[in-house]
Amino acid sequence: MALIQISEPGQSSAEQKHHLAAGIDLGTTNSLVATVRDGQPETLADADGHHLLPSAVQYSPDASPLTGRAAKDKSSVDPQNTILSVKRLMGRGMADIEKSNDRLSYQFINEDSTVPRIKTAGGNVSPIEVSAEILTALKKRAEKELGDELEGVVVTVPAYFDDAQRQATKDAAKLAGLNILRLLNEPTAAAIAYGLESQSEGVYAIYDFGGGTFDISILRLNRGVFEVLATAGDSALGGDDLDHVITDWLIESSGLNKEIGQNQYRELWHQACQAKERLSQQDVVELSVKIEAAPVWQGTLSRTQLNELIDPLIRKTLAPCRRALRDAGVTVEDIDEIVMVGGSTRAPRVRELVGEFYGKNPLVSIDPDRIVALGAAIQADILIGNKSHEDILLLDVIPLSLGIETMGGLVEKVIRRNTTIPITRAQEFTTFKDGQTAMSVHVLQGERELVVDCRSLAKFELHDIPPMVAGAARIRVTFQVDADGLLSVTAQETTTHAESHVEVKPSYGLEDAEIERMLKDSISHASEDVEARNVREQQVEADRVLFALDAALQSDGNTLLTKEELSKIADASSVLRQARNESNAATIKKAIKDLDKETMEFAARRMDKSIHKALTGHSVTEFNEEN
Amino acid sequence: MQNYFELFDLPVSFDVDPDMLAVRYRTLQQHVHPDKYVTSSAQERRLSIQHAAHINDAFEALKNPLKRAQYLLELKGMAVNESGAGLDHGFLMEQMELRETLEAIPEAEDPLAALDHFLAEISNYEKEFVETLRSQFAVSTEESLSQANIAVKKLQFINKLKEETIELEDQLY
Repeated sequence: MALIQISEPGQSSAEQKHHLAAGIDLGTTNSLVATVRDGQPETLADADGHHLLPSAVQYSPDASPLTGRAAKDKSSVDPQNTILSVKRLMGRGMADIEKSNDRLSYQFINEDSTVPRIKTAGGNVSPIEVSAEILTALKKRAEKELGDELEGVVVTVPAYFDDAQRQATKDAAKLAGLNILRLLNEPTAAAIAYGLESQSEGVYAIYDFGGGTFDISILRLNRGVFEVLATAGDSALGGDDLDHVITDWLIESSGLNKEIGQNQYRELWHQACQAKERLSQQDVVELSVKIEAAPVWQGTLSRTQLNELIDPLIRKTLAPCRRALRDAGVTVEDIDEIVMVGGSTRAPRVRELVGEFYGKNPLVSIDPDRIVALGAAIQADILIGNKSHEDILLLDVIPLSLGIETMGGLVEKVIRRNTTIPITRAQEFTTFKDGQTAMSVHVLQGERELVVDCRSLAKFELHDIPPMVAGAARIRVTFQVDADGLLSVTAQETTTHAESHVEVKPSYGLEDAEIERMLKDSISHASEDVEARNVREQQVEADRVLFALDAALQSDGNTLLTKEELSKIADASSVLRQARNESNAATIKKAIKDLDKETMEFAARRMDKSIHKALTGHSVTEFNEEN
Repeated sequence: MQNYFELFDLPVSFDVDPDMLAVRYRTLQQHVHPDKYVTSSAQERRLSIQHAAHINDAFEALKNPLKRAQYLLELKGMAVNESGAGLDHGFLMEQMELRETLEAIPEAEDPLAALDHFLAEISNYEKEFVETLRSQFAVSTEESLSQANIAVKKLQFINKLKEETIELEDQLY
């Protein structure tokens, strides 16, 4: 596909420093990395010219893990140690995995962590570590191709991913040593790539049916603003499920009982995948099942039969389609275009049923595999500051409601689904015992009324509440969802203004200490010094702080600050400048913190000024925009 | 702290020009959204999230007629409580009948069509109360504001009913 040229006219790219940034589509079946070069987004290929990296990792006792094609090739011969579709396990607990229909060929170990580990010949690994291997492979590919280290990446996630699944993805990127600029919702990424290419305006439905997840997003495109009106989906429904019903049919038809070995199952599964793909082109396929090279069954699968098998699953995607329309406040007639994304939308039956639902043919001219990575690359390029699309604005939403547990196992909603992010909501609590100094807030995500029907995210334990009589303390708990769709919680006692310490106990995520340990492990594998890495990270932050401060002082220092304030800031920044060159992470960190305190008021005044400036002279721009 | 109307530089009124509100909302977000501060210091990133969240809240409150009315009454020191006090008998009877209709939807011959029909009916009530609000706020005397207060309460009932209907839709489909 050809995307429009977006570099500014009259400004050659050599005039300003080009920052290396990439977009990564971390998919269930395949993953991709893309970047913007000379104003054009493009996916990057490996040495053999392949763009898609199969999301497969194979572990062995003594060598480092294999990824991609090499790993996928081992999946039938070494199913216990070859991890496929790991995305389906991200942010999930043992109970979820046992409940799912997936026939997983690996053994799980539920140690003392809330994150299950997979037992492999290369040790016990969490889904986060497996994903980090895939990300590392893509990072290496990009850095080899671009000739230098990546400064930042945008990683895509299904729009319908909950908080735990998003956090797990972010942790994986951190583990792979990537500086993550933003988690971007896959349908939104597709909308950016498509919207910029076609320069379209209007209301779009992005139907994203991938290997393991389904998303539907309704967006309004208007003068460079991509506003998500609503999103819905199913984070455990994808092409994998289609393959499983075909595999089960194959097993049943060939008279093999379901207790066949893992190797045999994976082989049949491969056959099922191929049959599904071939039936996109032809009306009937011949199949033959062999055991140890001896044929045991021969038969055919027609497209009509296939449709009967997969129809119930495809129809499951239509309920979210209806709900998204309702939540967006639009009707099918309002939809200007339906954009199909994800490998599963290649199936003609999917296009047919989606077309029927919307009463109009979906757009299939774009490459459904690559569009998400291309959109992510464009967003990464903007965020890192390669100023090609200065006025683009992305407004996304939270896919699932956030609530807290109240008396009787009920959930009270704090933030409703499809609220534009970032968002903050405050809720007041009080103590019910004299002298109570701690309390626990259980946060859940989902739409149902009962705690048991929602997904537990975390228990936030508030400590250091000043002791008072029962009911006297007023604890204001603030829930904040950032632009990545991730939740954080802070708490304050409002009568004494005492800041409560909040301890997070994630229900299905890694605790900070675990991430720290994994990071250390991964670094020691890479034979890199942990302290050296910490120092480098702090230096990067110090440079960022100093650079931003210099620019801020240049434009607003004299107008927004008194002489006294200026000199205090100058002192604190020279302390940081000096600390930056000494190789001690703790010293740099402290100097950043001190400067941060000194500049807090300045930053707030600048933000207010910026808001004020945005609307002065608005009558002129509005006149232009409305005419 | 500026109130929501000041933030968008709009007059304090129930009548808000939706297009102008949307344009100003986007203009403000162009300046403060966290995407514009990805490479800034942690401090600026924090501030940007806070401001962007505040602007989102303000936009939501002014865009939606019920929330806008609630906010206006709050500004005038007349925050609306959730109780049914002050509602007339006729309205409460109507509500009971509407609830009975809602409960009967799953047993209807074509539940989804019945549900669509019911939503359309609710939407008529919605329009009626929004019109009441518009005229009462236009007068803006103590008497008319207390009428607006009652209209807000009615609209809250209707809104709750609408939410439950949409929840039912999820289960039916």
